Amino acid sequence: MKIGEIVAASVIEGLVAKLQLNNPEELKIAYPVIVEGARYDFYCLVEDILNEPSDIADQLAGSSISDVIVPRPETHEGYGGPIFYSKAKLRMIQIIDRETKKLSEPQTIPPYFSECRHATKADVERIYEPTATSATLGTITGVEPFYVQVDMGKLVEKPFAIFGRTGTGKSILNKIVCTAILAKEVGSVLIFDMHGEYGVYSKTDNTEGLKYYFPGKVEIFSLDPKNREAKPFILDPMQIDPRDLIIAFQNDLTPQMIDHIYLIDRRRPKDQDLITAIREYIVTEAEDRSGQVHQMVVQALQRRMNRFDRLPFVKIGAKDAFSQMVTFVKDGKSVVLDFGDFGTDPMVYLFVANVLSRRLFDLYTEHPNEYPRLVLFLEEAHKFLDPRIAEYSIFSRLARETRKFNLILALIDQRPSRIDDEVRSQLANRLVMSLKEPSDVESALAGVPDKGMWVNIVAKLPLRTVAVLGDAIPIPTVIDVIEYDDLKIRQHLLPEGAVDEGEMQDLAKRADDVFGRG
Amino acid sequence: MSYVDDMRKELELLVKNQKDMPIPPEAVPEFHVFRPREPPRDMIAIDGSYSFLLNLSSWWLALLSVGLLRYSFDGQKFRKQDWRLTQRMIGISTFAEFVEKQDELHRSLFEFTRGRENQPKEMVNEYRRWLEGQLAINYADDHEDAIVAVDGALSEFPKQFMFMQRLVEVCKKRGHVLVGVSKDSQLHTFGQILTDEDFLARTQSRLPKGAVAYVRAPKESEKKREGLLHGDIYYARLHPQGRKWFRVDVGTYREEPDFVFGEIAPYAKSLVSVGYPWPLIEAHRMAVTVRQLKPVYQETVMRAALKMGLDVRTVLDGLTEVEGRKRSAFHEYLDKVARDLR
Repeated sequence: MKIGEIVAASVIEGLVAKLQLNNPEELKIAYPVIVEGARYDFYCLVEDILNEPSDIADQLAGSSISDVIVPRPETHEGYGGPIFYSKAKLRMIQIIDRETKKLSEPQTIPPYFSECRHATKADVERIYEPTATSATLGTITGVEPFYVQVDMGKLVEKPFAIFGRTGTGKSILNKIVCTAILAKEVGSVLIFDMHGEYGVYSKTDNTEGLKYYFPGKVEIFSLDPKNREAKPFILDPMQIDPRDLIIAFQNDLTPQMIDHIYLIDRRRPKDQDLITAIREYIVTEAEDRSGQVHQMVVQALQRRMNRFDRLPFVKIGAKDAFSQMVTFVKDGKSVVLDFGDFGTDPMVYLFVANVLSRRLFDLYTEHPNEYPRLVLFLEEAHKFLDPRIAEYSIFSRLARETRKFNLILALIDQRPSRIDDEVRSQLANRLVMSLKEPSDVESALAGVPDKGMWVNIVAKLPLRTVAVLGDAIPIPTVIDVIEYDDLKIRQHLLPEGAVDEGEMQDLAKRADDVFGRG
Repeated sequence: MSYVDDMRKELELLVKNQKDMPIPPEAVPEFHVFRPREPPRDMIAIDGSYSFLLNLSSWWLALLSVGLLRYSFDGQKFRKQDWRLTQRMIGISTFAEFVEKQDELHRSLFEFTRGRENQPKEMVNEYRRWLEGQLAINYADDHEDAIVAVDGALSEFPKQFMFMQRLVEVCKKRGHVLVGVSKDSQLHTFGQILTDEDFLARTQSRLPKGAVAYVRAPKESEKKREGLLHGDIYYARLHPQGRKWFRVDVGTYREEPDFVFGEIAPYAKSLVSVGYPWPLIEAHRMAVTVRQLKPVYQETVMRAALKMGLDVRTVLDGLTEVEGRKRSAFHEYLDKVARDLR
């Protein structure tokens, strides 16, 4: 359907269309539009919709004259269309040669009066050609029901991020992304499951988790001894190093305390773990006098170490679960680490995530070709990647280096502005949901072409809608994320016959017995 | 005495004539209240415009443009049903010896406007009216039982080009209501110091609230124009809250003014033009594109003139403003100096 004609155009500034819609509300930001040039079809996104100021409108608005016909588009047909019309600013995304069907970057403009119309399914199909590793994330805004696919193979080649403020649907999107990665068999995932969302069923909304759909491909470990269905997660304290403590306690440590942790670490016996070493450290008179070690600082550190008493999974002498996890990963399986009751304690999450990631980083960098691709999902990423503490965390190196070693970092965060610039610059793909804080919008889109347009779009995205930007999708696209329900997941993400129904039901029943449901 | 004192004196005189002048009861015209008909017939509106493009010595090139729109109105929506746009490039001269060698239409236009100030403009204007008439005749002859509304009076120039008379005949034959609506009228047919429009605005308070009405102009005024005028002159308030009384010439159904005004009044309900028919507004907007697109047309003229061997300087010197004044004229330069120098 024709919606307007081009009245201004610039390769740099974009296009302006005079709309012929009776109601501008029929068009929304980020809708795809085709402008039919003489030789090319210009695939555009709506950047803005505007009613320009009009002296006549100013004069007529608020008139008290009765029994008149107000000049709305549906009441007054002018000689060339509606007399009061809206305009749309369009951003050219791709041009399609009508003869060769070849796509290319927009390096030219359509002639004056080129017709604009809503993009059809056939138009978008030319752009979003599915690949063997692409999977549906949702429908394109404005062309429903066209299910747009993102290339999961490309997505997991390099670090990527899901940004969005609280309540926009980040977790659901993340579940869909994880499901798609496993369905397309482009890698395994390691998820730190703080709220019990990724196992068999989500504890928060009862939706099916990864283990439900991929019972043979997903292993669940749990920090919580109450979860008997999962494999117990045990951490040998010998594996803890100063960086893990610094990340875990974050702002609760002064620079002096950090210095003392490193000092104690250097002086501890080889067979003593760092936590015990801190706890048992006695400040000698000479140390105290020389000012090398301060009694008060050590005492403060010792008080903080008491928090580890409440963590039953940190066990001296017990078998560390890491090697078992690694074995599963080596077998191509994914791991969900359930935090159980510890999921509400940020210190535990930061601590465990850092210890495991650091060890994985060491393993993957030491044995570059031995391990399959593993995507490490990191929620609350800014807490690891804040410029103030990034030097202590392994994650900035992980973002920069590990794509060479098959260990890929996936950041999930609501405050992208607090993530170190250098880490953000490594992101090959960004899945950006609604963000309101201008600094977060700016940061989430730093380095993106046509940033100005995307800033406007992201600031106005509705819930459960995501702007996907990067090399995993042919063109930057705004997607309405599919609903995460059993039917939709089976219909759009899982290959036919991929799930063993009997095994799934059995697993579901056992999960129900353990957790209860509904 | 300063200019402020002059201004006060002049304003006092104006106010006295405009506001304080008593209107004797016998001078108050006879108002006829009528009822708008809903739904009315389709309205065919015609209006034209022109743009001068080039002037070489006493010869001008101008582009005429006439827009025709047929609208329907269902009480809520003005719907465009059909349209025509006619354009014609014309050359006119005000040099008698040259005109003598031109066609009959050219010669008639020259004779009809002889002695008038700014004759080229007058000639083009009359040409425009003739072209409007031609388009109206052709279109009206293909349709039936509509309202044909032309811009301006139902009058015409040289008798040998009786386009208005032909239009009246065609409208009669096809059952059309024919009216000519003047946007502005400066006549004093009611014999008052006020113009007819202002005079009626002063006396309309005698009308019932919310009424639409018309007034027949004094017959003497029509007699004065006999031979050129093809209709009866009325003034009408087509909307109860319309600010203006418009002169409306009625060319057919002359015995049924209630019916005629009842048909055209519904089209005067647009908030954009309260009291003036909306289709005429649109026909006007369509026609004046010839002025908005003048640079495009002028470029075409320049290309053609250069190809034909005119030198660039001559062509550039000959470019005109829309009303025919040369861009390179010395007073244009003086105007620019006055504007730009501080």
